[in-house]
Amino acid sequence: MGADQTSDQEPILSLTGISKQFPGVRALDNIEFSLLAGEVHALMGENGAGKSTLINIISGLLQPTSGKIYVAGEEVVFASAIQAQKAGISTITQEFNLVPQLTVAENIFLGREPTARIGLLKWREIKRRASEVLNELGLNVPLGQRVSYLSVGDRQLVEIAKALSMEFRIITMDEPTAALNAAEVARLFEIIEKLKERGIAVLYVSHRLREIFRIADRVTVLRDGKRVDTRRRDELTEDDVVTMMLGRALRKEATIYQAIPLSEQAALSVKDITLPGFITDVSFDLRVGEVMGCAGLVGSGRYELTRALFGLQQISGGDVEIKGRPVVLNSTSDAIRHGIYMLPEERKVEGIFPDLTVRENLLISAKRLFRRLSELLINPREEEKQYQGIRNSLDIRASSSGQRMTKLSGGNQQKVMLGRALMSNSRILLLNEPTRGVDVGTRVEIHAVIRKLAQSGYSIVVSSSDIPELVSVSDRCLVLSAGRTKGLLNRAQITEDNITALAIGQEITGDNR
Amino acid sequence: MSNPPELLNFRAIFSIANATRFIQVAESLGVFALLLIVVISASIIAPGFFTYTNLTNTLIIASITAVTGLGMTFAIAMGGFDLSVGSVQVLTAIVVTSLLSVIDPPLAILGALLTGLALGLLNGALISKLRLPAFVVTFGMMSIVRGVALLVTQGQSVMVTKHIEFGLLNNGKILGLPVPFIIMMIVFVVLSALLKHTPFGRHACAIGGNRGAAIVSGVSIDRVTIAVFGLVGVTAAISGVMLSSQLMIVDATLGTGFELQAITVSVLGGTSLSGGHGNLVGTVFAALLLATIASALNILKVVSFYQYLALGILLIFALAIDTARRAFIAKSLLSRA
Amino acid sequence: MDLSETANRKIDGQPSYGISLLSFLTRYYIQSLLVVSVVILGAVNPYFRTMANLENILLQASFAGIGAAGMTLLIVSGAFDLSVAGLLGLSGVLISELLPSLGVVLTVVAALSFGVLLGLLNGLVVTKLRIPAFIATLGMMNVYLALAFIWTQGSRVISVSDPDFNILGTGTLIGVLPIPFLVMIIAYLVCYGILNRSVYGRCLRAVGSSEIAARTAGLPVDLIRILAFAIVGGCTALAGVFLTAELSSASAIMATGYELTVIAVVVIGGTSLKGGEGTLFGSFTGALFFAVISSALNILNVAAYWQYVVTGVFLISALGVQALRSYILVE
Repeated sequence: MGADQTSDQEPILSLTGISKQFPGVRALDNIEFSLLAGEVHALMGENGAGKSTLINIISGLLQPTSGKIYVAGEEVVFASAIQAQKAGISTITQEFNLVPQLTVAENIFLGREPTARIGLLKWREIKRRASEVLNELGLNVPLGQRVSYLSVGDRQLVEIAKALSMEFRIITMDEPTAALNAAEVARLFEIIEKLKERGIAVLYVSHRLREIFRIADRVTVLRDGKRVDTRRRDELTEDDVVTMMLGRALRKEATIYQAIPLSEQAALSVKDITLPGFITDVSFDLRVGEVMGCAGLVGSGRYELTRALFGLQQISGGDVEIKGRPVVLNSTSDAIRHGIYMLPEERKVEGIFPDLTVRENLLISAKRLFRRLSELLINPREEEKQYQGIRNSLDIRASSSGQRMTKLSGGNQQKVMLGRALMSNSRILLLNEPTRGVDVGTRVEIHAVIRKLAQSGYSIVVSSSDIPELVSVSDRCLVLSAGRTKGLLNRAQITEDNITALAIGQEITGDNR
Repeated sequence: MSNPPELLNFRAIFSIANATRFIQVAESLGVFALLLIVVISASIIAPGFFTYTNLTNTLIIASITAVTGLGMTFAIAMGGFDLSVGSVQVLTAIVVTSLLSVIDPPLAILGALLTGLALGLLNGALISKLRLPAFVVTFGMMSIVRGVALLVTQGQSVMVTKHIEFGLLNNGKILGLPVPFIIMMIVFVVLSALLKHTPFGRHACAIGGNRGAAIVSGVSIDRVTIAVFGLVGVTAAISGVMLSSQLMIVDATLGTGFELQAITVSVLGGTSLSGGHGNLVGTVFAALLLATIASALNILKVVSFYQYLALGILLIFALAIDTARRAFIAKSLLSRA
Repeated sequence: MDLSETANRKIDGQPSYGISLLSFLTRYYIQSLLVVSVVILGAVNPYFRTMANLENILLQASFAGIGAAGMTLLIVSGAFDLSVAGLLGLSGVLISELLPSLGVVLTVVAALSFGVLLGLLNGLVVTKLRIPAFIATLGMMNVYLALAFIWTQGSRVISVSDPDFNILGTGTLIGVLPIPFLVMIIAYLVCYGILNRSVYGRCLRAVGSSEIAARTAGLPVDLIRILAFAIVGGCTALAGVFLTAELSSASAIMATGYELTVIAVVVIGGTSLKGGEGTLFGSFTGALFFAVISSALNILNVAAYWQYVVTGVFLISALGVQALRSYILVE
């Protein structure tokens, strides 16, 4: 640690001695950090390392307990996000700051609309300046289009256009590629290059090592609220970064996978199912005790496939069979009755119940409502036993079963979600992004659990955008592209390159069907 | 991927003018079509509907509802709504009527408008500064203001005795059109300009569409909220003045259910409760629709209770359509994307 | 694992005494308010201290209180029902029609079933037509009111004079506890059991906490919602039985403003309008508190019109206290 020695330029943003104390938790400890104009600086670290806190302080959403911030050499204090903006710092988060009902032009100028004397908007000037900035980004979108009609990738670019038009000097991007397909990621990186040329500093926060190594100039790693180091990207390897993040070397995941004999019986059989607008003629068999990976970019229909199999969306064509018998899955009750359970992609939005306790979150799907008259009342002792059982097998860290769910860390919340699936008495599990937002250590634990479950007879589909994860856990891997099956890989063929190739629509050499 | 700048500009001008307006026109078209159908049916079924007197009356009733409806549309676009407008209407009607016995009409009207403004600003302040939910605050104010109205009048009626010319506000005509209608058109033009062509209106829509985005863009949520509710209060007061001019004798039991009417005409007119945009044209059409239905039913001597029934069912119908429309848009977006 | 410890680090030190007292007060403010107001009023006014007055307070509390029990459950699930005034009036009118021919027991059963049915209707409109609850029920309120008007040909007051029935409203146990109040206690016990000890209650709280998570977890959200509306309908009809008995009459507008009082009782009792959690004890206390205030206004010869103002002010203040409470919890 100590002062960063990698550059002689005057930094455009400089943090010295920044600490942030929350009741009982020291989220940041004496951070020294600097950002140079025209560089892409990656910020990495596990969950809980302090990345979000640091970003929030830079954006003005939080005030540091101690330390100073300098922008272009001048000391600043940000009492609010607006003040940070006035100093030239823009933050682009995963939840877009665009108003869907307003047009692109209106969104770009929201809050600083040029007005004529009576107070009326100067439309001509708005259109002119907006199209200037969109042209610069090469964004081909009509200014009068309501933002709600734009794709996710386009919306992000409108946000960047907004930042550009406000002449920001520093742009912070938090997991910007989470919801983008490969083409959109490429476009984003082109734009980041353009931003660099303009002298804008980009602070890039991401879990995705591959991307960091594509785009970043320097990398800063945080761990437990402290800065581990700041180095130039070309001086590092991926393993170096992971070691810095964890404080130890990562166990190679390949050793986790152990082949287990699969039964020949299909637990779940999907034939030519179609979901208009999402998937067309997808077929596969899921055998008992198998883990089937499901890969594909955003928009490939992965998530919709699992939702359809869970009864949340209607299949319009094709058949589904369970252990050889055809079934109808028109509702979640149907699916649960047939022993299928699904975990959603975004646990924050559609997974957890923030007002309920950990135990309640765990057991919410354990009993079907009104299934049996004897099960109308809650049996606290039995439930506590169930909670303890899951807590031990998944190693959930919570102070008690009565703790509020929101107090748990992301990794532990995800474990509770996994526990919920286990307690649902379903033998067919559809797991979406099982390790999203989860730190590296917990990720490995969850993968081990998935393999163990398969070993004890569960049939699991793991749908994930994390390709190394799929390589880790899958016996076979289904790859979707634009709603169609692009390939069904057997164990020997499951490699990152194969999956990536198929997912973006290419063919791979050799046997792939 | 890059287009020549000129083309983009042309498309921009074309698009801004058309894209948003097209959607709004399409939404209003539905209500307008419905209005035409009802007017035509009414003229056929109800003898005496298509007379000058009856049409004038219908127009007047529609205007009174439309004025507050327009204000309510503004509030709904911001993502809120005001359940107290009925009580504010009756209180301001009482205020103007009472004031007329001591001062001239212009001042009396001003007094009523200021009352409405004050009550609206109070709503806005409670909602924004104290961060209380709009629904319950205005629900509580509805009760408080009604109570005040009852207390002030002690349950008695108040009549316009001096300055009988005040009735001209209701009976007078400008260019053959009833004055209330002119008032409504003025309110419509002013609010349209505010909503679509001033930062204030755009900010209100931003707050309703994505509050977080509005905050981060530097929009002052508190100020806009207070101003919008103040605006609603003023429109309710205008309706109150118009009502007083129409009846010339008011008491504290008037105006019950008015908030329901105001919300109904907004939603029926195409403004979605989820906020983000407001269809003022649709509101006017919907108010005309409601008044036409009421008028026709009156002529057909249908008991007024059935009108209550009709209003309730109409509201639910309008809301169901709103929901269906949103689902339809979502679905068609999906198949496009 | 380093990270898990982050999640488990306890808050250092104990909160200061100041925060403790304040958080106690904001948590039990309605109970404190009740005690304080009873003590003050009892000290100030001799009539207030009489048994007759106590009995009257308990009686008056039960009308809104019984409705509030069901409403609390509904609000916990994230919805409201503004149609209860019309629902009650309509049930009252139904009772007056059926009583002469069906007798007490059957009429009460019919009235409760009717209330449940109307509640189911409300629930269907909200869930199947996907209309926001407060505005859908605002519309239904008009519908019920209109139906009651039509049935009674316009605000006619129907007298209900069956002594066996009226005893329900006027009768007391041990001379002091009115029957409606006893039923209210039972209703609250039942609703408490439902909310906190039953699987359905947990589902209610889950739906109120995050409807989308509830759907994704496989919960039958529509069914849960519809049942909650049905419970409100039943409770409201039950309150209607007692109100009709006490007034010995029924009319369409017999319960005007009921929705305001009931929701005010629930809010002032501490249940959050956002849903996900609620307190039945709070609603119970809230109902008593309102009855105490009404009684005080009566005794002090304050005009009945003040009732409106007071209820509204209390509602808004109660929200303010809730906001204060969540602010303190965050700090």
